[in-house]
Amino acid sequence: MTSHLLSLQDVTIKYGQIEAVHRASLDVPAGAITSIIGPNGAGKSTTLSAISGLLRCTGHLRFDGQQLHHQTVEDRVDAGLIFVPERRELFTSMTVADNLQLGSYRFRRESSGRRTADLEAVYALFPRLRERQAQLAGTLSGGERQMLAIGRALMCRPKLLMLDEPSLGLAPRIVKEIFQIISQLRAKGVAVLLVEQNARAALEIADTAYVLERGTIVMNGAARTLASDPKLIDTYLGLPSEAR
Amino acid sequence: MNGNIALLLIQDGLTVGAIYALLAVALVLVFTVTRIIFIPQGEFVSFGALTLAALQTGQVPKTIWLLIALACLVAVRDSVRCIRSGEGLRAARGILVNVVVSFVVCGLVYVLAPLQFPLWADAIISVVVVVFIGITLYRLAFEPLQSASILVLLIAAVGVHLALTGLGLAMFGAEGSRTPPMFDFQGQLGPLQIGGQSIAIFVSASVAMAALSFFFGATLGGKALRATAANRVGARLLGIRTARAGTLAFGLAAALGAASGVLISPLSTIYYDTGFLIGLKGFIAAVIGGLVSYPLAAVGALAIGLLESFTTFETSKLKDVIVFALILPVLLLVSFTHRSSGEEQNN
Amino acid sequence: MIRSFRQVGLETYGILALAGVTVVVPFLPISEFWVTLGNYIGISALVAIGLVLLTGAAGITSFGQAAFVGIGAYTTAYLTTAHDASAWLGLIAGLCATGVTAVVLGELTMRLSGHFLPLGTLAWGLALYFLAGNLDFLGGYDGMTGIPPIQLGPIALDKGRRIFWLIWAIVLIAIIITGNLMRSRSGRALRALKESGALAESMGVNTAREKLKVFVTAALLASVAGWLFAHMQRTVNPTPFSAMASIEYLLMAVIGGLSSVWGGLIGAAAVLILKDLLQRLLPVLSAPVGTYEIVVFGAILVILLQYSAQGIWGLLVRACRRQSKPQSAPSVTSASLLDHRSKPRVGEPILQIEAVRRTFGGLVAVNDVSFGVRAGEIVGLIGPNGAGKSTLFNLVSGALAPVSGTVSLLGDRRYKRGARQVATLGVSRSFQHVKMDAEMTVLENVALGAHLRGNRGHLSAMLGLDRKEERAIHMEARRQLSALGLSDFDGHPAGALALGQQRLMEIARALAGDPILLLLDEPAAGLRHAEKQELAAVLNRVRAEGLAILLVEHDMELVMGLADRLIVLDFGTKIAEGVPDDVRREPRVLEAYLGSVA
Repeated sequence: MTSHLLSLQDVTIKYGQIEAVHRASLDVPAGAITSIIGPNGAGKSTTLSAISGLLRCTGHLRFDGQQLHHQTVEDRVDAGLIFVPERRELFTSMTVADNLQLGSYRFRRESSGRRTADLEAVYALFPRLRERQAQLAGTLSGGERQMLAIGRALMCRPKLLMLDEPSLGLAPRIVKEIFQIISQLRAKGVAVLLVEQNARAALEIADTAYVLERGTIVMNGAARTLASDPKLIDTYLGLPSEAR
Repeated sequence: MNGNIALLLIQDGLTVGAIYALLAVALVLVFTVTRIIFIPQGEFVSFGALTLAALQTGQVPKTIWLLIALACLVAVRDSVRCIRSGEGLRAARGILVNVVVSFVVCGLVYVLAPLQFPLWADAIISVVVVVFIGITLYRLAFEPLQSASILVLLIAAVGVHLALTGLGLAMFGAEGSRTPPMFDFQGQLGPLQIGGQSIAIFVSASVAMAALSFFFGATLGGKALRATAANRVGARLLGIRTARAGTLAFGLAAALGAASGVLISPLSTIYYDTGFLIGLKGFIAAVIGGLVSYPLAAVGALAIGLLESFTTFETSKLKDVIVFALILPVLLLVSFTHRSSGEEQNN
Repeated sequence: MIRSFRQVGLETYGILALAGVTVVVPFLPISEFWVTLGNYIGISALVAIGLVLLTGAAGITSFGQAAFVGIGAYTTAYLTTAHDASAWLGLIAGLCATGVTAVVLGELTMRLSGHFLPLGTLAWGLALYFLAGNLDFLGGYDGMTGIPPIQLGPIALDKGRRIFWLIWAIVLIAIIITGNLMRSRSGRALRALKESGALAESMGVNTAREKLKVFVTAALLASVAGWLFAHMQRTVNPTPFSAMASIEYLLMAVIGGLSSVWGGLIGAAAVLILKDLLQRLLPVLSAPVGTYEIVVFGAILVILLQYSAQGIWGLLVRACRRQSKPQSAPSVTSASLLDHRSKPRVGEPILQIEAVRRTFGGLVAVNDVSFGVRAGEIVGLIGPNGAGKSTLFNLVSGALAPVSGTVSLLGDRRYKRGARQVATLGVSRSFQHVKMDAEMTVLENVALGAHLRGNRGHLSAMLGLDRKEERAIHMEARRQLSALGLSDFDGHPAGALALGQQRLMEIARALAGDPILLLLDEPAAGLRHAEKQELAAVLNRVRAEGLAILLVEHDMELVMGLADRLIVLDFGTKIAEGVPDDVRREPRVLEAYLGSVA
């Protein structure tokens, strides 16, 4: 257990009476990229929401040696478990700089020097955000919003960064850029849990992956192995007709 | 109406308008952070003024008993919840801290009340007591409803208003009180006599607004509050404790309300239910700002103050009719310009 | 038929019991005190029943209802004292005055969106109160005295026991007619608009008019209450018509339960009895009269909201439902009893979209897209997330208007005038996230779909003149449910269905509207494999009946198997169109779906 940063055991998530995820178990090692792929509505985003604490679930959740059961969303953030949801959830009526500063809210009692250093690091990663820092977040383009969402999450100094569909609605060129940055994060020691509809891109970047179908984990293993799995190619990767 | 009278009316209107502005700002603050349309805001005005009046006569203000009762209710409810969910000591410590703080505040007031401090000191004590009442009220009545719709929150706010009005009558009785003026200064500006209290009200309102705009514009805490208002989920995902944002907003709103009460009590007699009417006027102003815009709300408040002052001169009887009937067109206008946002929140 | 059989049973027994009580009570050797309390309960119940209609059915919260009571009371008080008019003339005049006021205020207030609406009611409630207190001919805050009792033939209803009959007879009538209304076509429409304005409009409901009508109905009930109040008290003053009183009426409705007109009655009784008890018990605490009672009321209101609020009626129904047996459904006729429109021939062009464009700010969501759908054809609209599918769907359903280009149905270009108009043209739709009244039965939800095929309004519903049409509508709903294999669930609350069944129910509802074009927004999202197959079978059948279907869907397997033609969108632009087998080989489609890889 200790080797894993995050581990889920028999986690079940319900919306009212409908079971969205059924007894899922998965492990996320430190310093690596783990990916969850699967068709739309399989329960991928639901799983991330439950790990972040936005949704309730049953089963065992451990993060960094701690049981998460009774912890609120805010407690989990304080522990370094940071979630960038599909909707990004930016503060659109505030400036880019304000959005980023709020990312360091949990370090508000630290000296401002370290927080400024964090901000500089994010600007170095996303030079575009520095250009836009005085602009309202609501006026950014889709790609810039995604950068801001990731940048804001990095201001929280995550141990584990959970990204839900970071490529959603973005032009291929921007997607490429974002994925490169995700790889860089791994190099800096940040663990990433990635949910992606673009299964091929996700498998290319990830170290290990889980396949979720109708709320159940049906397959898992090293990303490279999965990418060449004939069944998976058949359902998600190969034929364009089923290319989700 | 000659020029002098008009000037007098303007001065009156602006003074009252400044009070309305303080309340309007508080209402906008509470609404944006918690989505609560806080009808009982006016009760803080009465509570503040009447607590001050009691302290001035050397009595122990009954508001401290209210605070103790509310704090105990919150503690009992939280304990029950803790035991049920099997949460541990950490939560229990939080509960204990809350109760102890309330008791310490009340204890101090109890001991200090007969000592008859100067007016300004008593004013501060009054505001502090009301702030704690505001915070505890949020914890008791609204925190469990955090995810409820705006409409449910509105009905709950009306319920709280009912309860507070009754408690106000029970604590202060049907008689009103008036406190001595804080500033005996009388200025002369051309033909116009300017009362010290009017100046005090105007200065306090301006300082409060400036402080608030600094808080929201330049401090991380203030930005976190704005962020909570703009996007609750987004704020939580950054570790901003949105429940705490609610208590902070209520604390500020209670402070603004109590300060208004303290400031206005030398100008007119305050009864247990006076605050409600004053609050409603502030409320119209807040609605003029669509419940989201501070500057518009403040301007609206001054406009209402002026309107009221002039209608009182022309037809004192129908003043309230006119002011309240005016809400409808304002609401229509606001409703149309904010249509999209209103419907989003509704769904 | 509306909800469970048992609940209807409960209501029938209730009416019989109430009639018995009404007749008997004045003869009982009880003290005058109880009779008076009964009178107050009856009068308040009238107002609370109006609020159940308004808040419970239509979702409109009013903080100004007491003002209408005041208008009824003051009109009759003024006419009978200043002009010696008969009380009955006072009633009619009061109803007229209230009606006019309610139409004017309603026209203004019902346009308010969201939380501005209840605030609006609070505003005019306060304004009318202050007006009453400041008009000299109405006696100012002192009010008016010397109001004569109501004359019923030779009998003067001057004693509590005498007016008791009149009050409770009116309460009985109010319960029956409002109950009828809640069960009717209008009632369904109101519940739909409470759930979602978009849902109601897409079923062809004129939401603005329905809101106004129910608002006026509630106001008239309050006005009658005011009339009774004035002639029972024999004096009026502004206090009973203040905002505080409005809040108390709302409290009654919430405590009693907003789901049934009985909630209004039960709530009125509960609040007034509780109030009386408090007034008798609490003076022990040595506070002025009325002090603690509002504290207790306020606390009860907040506590009720915190711990789920079905009200007392909700508790009663739950208690009775435990032993309820399902009702055997009447047999289903094969042919619809309702009129239906002439069906276009298979192959006839139905929907034609030409160079339609829609922008949001600077973003082009739909970029000059053209295509058509024919009768007896399923056209699939696919594309990656954010490609503009939903926007295009909303352009067709009338929820959005295009900036340029035309949408035409059967060659008629007069389209795009809002969801309701589109519905009248014969276009039915489903929603991406199922929209329904979860508490209403499956049958009633489907019956809502046939809204435009009936025409009975408020009045005939209240008087029960809509039974024949209602039977036909329900029969049609049953027909659709049985065709989709949902017959066994028609009496269940819609919220109790599994997601797949809810989606089928939405399709049944859409079909109940007798459409020529069916718009389906991701009907397979969240469905399990078997459910998807069931859905596909249903859609195949519907196509065979000659309907045109436009299907927005993510599930490629389903779309490939179902659609006759596919339209592929990417970044708002149509990048491919054709039969599924061709489209799946198109390089641009491959690119759009697989995306470029890092």
